[in-house]
Amino acid sequence: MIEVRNIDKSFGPLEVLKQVSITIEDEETLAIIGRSGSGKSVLMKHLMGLITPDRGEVIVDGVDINAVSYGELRQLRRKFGMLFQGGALFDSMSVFDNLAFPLRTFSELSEEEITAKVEENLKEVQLEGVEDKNPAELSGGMKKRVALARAIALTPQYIIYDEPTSGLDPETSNTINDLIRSLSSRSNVTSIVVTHDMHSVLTIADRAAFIHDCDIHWVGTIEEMHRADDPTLSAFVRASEYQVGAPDRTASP
Amino acid sequence: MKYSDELKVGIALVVAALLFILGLRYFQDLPLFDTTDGYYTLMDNAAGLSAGSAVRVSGVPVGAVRRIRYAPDARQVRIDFYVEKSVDIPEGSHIAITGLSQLGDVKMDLTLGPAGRDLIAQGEQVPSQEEDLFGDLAERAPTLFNRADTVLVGLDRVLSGVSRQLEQPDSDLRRTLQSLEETSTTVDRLLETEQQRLAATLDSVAVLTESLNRLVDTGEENLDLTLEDTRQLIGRLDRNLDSVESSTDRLDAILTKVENGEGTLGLLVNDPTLYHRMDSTLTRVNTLVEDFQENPRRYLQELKLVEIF
Amino acid sequence: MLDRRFLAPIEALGQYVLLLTKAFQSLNEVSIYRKNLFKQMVAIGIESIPIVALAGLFSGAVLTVQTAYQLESPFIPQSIIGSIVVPSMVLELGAVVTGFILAGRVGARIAAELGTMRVTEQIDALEAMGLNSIGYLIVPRVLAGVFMFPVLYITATGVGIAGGVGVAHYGDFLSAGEFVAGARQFFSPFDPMFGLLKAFVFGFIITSVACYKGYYTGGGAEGVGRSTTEAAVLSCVYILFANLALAILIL
Ligand SMILES: Nc1ncnc2c1ncn2[C@@H]1O[C@H](COP(=O)(O)OP(=O)(O)OP(=O)(O)O)[C@@H](O)[C@H]1O
Ligand SMILES: [Mg+2]
Repeated sequence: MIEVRNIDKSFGPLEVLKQVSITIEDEETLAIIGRSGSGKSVLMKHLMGLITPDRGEVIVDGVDINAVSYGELRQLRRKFGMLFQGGALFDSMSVFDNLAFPLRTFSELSEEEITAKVEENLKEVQLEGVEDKNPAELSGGMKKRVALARAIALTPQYIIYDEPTSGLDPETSNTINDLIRSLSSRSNVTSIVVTHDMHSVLTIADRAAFIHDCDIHWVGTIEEMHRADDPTLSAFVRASEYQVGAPDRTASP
Repeated sequence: MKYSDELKVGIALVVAALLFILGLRYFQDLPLFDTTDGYYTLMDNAAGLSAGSAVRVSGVPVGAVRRIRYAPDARQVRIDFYVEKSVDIPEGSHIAITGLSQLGDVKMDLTLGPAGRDLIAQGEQVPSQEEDLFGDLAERAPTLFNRADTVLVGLDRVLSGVSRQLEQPDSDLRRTLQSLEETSTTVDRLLETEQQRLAATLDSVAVLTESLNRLVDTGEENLDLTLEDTRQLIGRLDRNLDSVESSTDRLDAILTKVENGEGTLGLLVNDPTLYHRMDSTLTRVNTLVEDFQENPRRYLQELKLVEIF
Repeated sequence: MLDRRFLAPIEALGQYVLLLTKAFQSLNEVSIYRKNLFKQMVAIGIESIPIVALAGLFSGAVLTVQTAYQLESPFIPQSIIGSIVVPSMVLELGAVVTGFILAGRVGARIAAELGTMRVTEQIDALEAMGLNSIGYLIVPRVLAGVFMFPVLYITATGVGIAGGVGVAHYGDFLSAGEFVAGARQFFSPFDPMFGLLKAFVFGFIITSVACYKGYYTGGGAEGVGRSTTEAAVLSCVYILFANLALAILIL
């Protein structure tokens, strides 16, 4: 369980988060939605202690991650897998080495086992035969999928996806959504998905949190979201649905 | 990518370290691959010496100074140096600073003790030698003794030779006596001339005394000193005259005895070898006496001093 | 506003020292950086050998020719050229020429590398995996600098002296023997030790400043460019200061 309590964060004069609180339950899948630049990625980084809040606490499994030692923090972080918005692949390494890196660093697997595991992970994200390429030789969508494969390599307890389907064609998007859903359905996996893609939200999430105006403006289940009479949220949801071409109207009122 | 990074780095580090050490030794004029032994010495003054200065044996560089620092408890300068392993330093060796510090050309010269003695252990002190007379003398004493020894042995041999010859009689006495006579005549003549010269000298002294009298006014202290000097001079003059007198007396006595053919000298002149030797001696005495007549001043420096006054 | 301008450098210094402290604390986590260390030693050290040797060669050769030109006098023995060139290379040029060349080559490279990793969130990705990014990225680079700079210094100095001897000998200034004799006359083994110390210090300055600049890059490609320039320029400036400070403190 992750508890975010009243965090403030500003970058110089720019206030990004103000008094943000949210609780992420174990084994749920939470979608984070909000306009571009509203602070979604910043909030995600707070969850792993990559950004320290100006005020407030982040508590992961009962531990205040900003109060513990660096060593303990690193232990905590191993419970997480994070897909960064830009992929964040190590461009000094080949695709294979990128995927093998966490395995080599943190697991006891032999080199053959690692090779097998890397191939399996790549197959899951529908990529094959790219092991020897450099990240620079991949397309944006391919990078994202390699990064996703790397994030889940160590089967983490908490998986954070920062816009997993942006920049992907609808077909690949669906595959990724299916993958996320199957990962989320495993026992003891908590997923946090940042997305603009309402289709993703509808297909994979149990709950959604809407960030607006430096705050969690609204939070509730997908059902509740469609019935909510909040004008800002409705406007956002409607705009998204319009963009995606209203793929799934069954849940709408 | 045939070689691993580790190998490349390892090779680079090893090569660089080798280059560094060999370069250091090369410019210190040390053997590139021979190992060295370290020693130290204590000195009062290490002026001009610096780390890296050469250590030489018989003028050949065999090592270098490693470190110089002041040792407060010994109140001396401790100089650590090393020499090639092949150079053994026996007890009795010592080391000294040489060269001109003005030219930056200061070295240490290691003088090895006699071979066969126990070696000074590595890391131990090698006695130093600084420029002082005692050290110098101590260094030379053995040679001096040796030389004195040879001289004594030679003297011994001469004396025994003389006594052997004294026992052997010979007939050629007359010529020797003649020479001796001639010599005595010459000496007589010399003494005559000398008497005149002495008279002149005494005249000069009289003049001097007068001058001294005149000088009395100028200051008693100076005068005292001058008088003291003069007294000493006159004393020495006296003694000289005495010795001339006694020499003449003794010569007289000897000649009388020889004339009478008395004592061992009679036997002495019978030896032909001795005769020849005495002959040459007398010839030399003659030359000496002639020279004395020509340049009496060279032999009478004391008198000359008085004359200059 | 005025306060900020005065406080900013002090804040930067504090940040730099903190970064190095963290790096120092990560020193014992050898497994994290072992592999990277050798990679960086090759990238920073081995691959710099040719350029450093070239620079050393020309410094030594030029120094010899110019010393010979300045000392053209019948009263001065020609071997003095060796006595001047060798200590100059050993004490000063070997280390400083290496330092300047590597401030550009190595400093800029490290800052660009780490800066790019920062702005593309690769550093965040390392941290997110539970890895000590400072130990993983900075320690091997600084260590590689500290270990390999002496190697490069020795290379530059050795090649430089060889260049000096070569020019002296084949340029008919003085024979190699005279050159070496002159060098030996005033040679002090402390000089190369001091040069080596300089190389250690310069290696540390260049790599640590570049790591600091790169690690704390902000603002995209432009930020990376700024960090790169600053790393190269500041390394050079700090090398100059360190050179003076070492000379005053130790000589
Ligand atoms: N390291 C940083 N330094 C300064 N400002 C930052 C930093 N990171 C984020 N910001 C600012 O914080 C705000 C929120 O950024 P964030 O990346 O969280 O947006 P986002 O909600 O993820 O947007 P998007 O959907 O486009 O990814 C933006 O205005 C951004 O400029
Ligand atoms: Mg974002």
